[in-house]
Amino acid sequence: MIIEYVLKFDVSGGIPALDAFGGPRIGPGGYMFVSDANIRAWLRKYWELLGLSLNKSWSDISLLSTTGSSKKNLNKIAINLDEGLNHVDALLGFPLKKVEKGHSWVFGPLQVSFAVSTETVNVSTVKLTASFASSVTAKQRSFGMRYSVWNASFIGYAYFTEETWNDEIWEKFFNGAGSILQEKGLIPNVQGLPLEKKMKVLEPFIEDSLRGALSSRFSGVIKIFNVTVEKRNYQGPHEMWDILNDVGGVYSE
Amino acid sequence: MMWEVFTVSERRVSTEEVLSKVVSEFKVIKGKESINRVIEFAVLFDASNSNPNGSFPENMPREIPGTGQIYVTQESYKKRGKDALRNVLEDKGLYEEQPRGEIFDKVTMWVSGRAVDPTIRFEEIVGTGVSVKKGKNKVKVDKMEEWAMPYFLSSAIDAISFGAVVPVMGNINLTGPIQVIDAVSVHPVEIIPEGGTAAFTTGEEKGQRSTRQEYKVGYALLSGGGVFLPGYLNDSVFSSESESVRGIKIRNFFTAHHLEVWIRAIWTGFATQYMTTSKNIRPVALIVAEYDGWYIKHFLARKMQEILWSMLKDRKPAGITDISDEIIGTVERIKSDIPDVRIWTMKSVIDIPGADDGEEIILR
Repeated sequence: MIIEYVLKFDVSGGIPALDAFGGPRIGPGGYMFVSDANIRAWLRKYWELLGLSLNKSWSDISLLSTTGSSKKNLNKIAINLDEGLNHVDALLGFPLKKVEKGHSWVFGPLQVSFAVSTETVNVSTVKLTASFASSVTAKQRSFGMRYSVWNASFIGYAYFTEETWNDEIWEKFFNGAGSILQEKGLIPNVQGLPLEKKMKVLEPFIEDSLRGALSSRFSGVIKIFNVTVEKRNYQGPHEMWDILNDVGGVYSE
Repeated sequence: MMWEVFTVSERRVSTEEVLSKVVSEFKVIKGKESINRVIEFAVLFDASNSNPNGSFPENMPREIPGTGQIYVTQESYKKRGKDALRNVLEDKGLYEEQPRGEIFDKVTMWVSGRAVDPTIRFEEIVGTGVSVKKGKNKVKVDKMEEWAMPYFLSSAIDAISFGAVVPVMGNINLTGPIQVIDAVSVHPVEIIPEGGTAAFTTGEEKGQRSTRQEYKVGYALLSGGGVFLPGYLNDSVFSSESESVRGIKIRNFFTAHHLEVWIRAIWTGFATQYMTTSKNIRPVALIVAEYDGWYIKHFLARKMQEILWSMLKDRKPAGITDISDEIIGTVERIKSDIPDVRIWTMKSVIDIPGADDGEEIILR
């Protein structure tokens, strides 16, 4: 059983996410994209706001992805299986420290796809008088700039399936991260429930996390509004295929 | 963590104490408990025969491509609030432009409107040569270090509230708990070019008359607003390479007064620009909604923009004179999702008895 979450949101007066160079992420055909890594990072940020401990924090992720990449130590982010399942972001998967039976990565039951604008977008630049004078000519006005799109709609997808993990791993998760979620009142008490029912109680939490992760993306540059998360049985991202049908000739017949 | 090694000897500024001194006169909307809730606010204001926010460097009203709407950047109307609050604080002797790390009972602003280099501004606020406790000993610090962040945060009231980019000590970005959106006109706006004889002659040809060219809007009703996210008071608000800076919690510095004073300051800031030649904006209505939760559930400001746009887009500017009823109707329509909403509005857009007077309507 695969549950499909359709994520819809609008962006206006800003952009949904920045690329690694601080610009807007425009794909082939003029559509704007939000990467799946962005959405995973937003989920982590939201879980941090809820006060949950993570395998990889928002700050660590942003450090790895942007500055100081020459200094990053990949051993730091690899985790033992039991330890990794103590944190809620194990749902997204994590790299394993010990290579057991040839596996080096635990795939999570929550998988996120990228999001795309439903129409081609025009990115305009908003020029502003800078808050500070440039250091070269202290008396001269300098200007700052940010990017903006107006009235753009986006669609993205997330998938949740309990079949990614076997019963043993699920038990470990519910004894670790699951017990923290219960303590915080984020999921109901699952003690003594059979495993199938335990997984069911996780679904509303995941739906709420997706909604929270998207709707709390709101700052000077990033402006996400009107977030809806629609739950359905797996249909595949056919709305996105319709949008991207002709892009680059990849899907055209 | 550096913050534990170097402890600032005493709490430098209690922003709560400073703000509570202005709260009584600076009419405040909600009680103290609001710090634990998500609050959304929408603010409506209008501009007539003026340019509410010029683009840079052309100085034309900023247009949304394709719709005929104009917008006023969030930076612009936050500045209205900052100027108003600064005036109030200065009047009461609670503002210090250059505290230099020694003032205990005054606040300052990170961006104060003066053209100054960020490193110099940071030094002006934090000061150098301040003694801090390192373990059991007192140490005099003579250069900008990470220990200075609590000093900075406890003083710069705008940085605590809206966030700041601090391009010193390796670029520290701070996301504040109050985030606002660009104000958008809720109807298409015509931009009128205006030529005239310049007040001064050009330097080159002193005897000759020169001309000026500027742009303005006839009438524009604009809707902006924002959100207060208490989650952003956690330590993860910082993005910095520095471990020690990420450990500081802004919650220690932010009080419930901040939000209330800022909303009120923005209202007053609009009112102070009324009847000025360049801006001529005035506040029309302020809607505040609050509920328990961790994320934006409704986005009031955006909803107001959309509903008012559908109502007013076909109307001629002359027909958008008294929209108080429409605003109240709009809020009534979306009220079912909002447990507690308050509206602060002018009785009429045309009839303004005193720029600062409004009428508070509480819908429950």
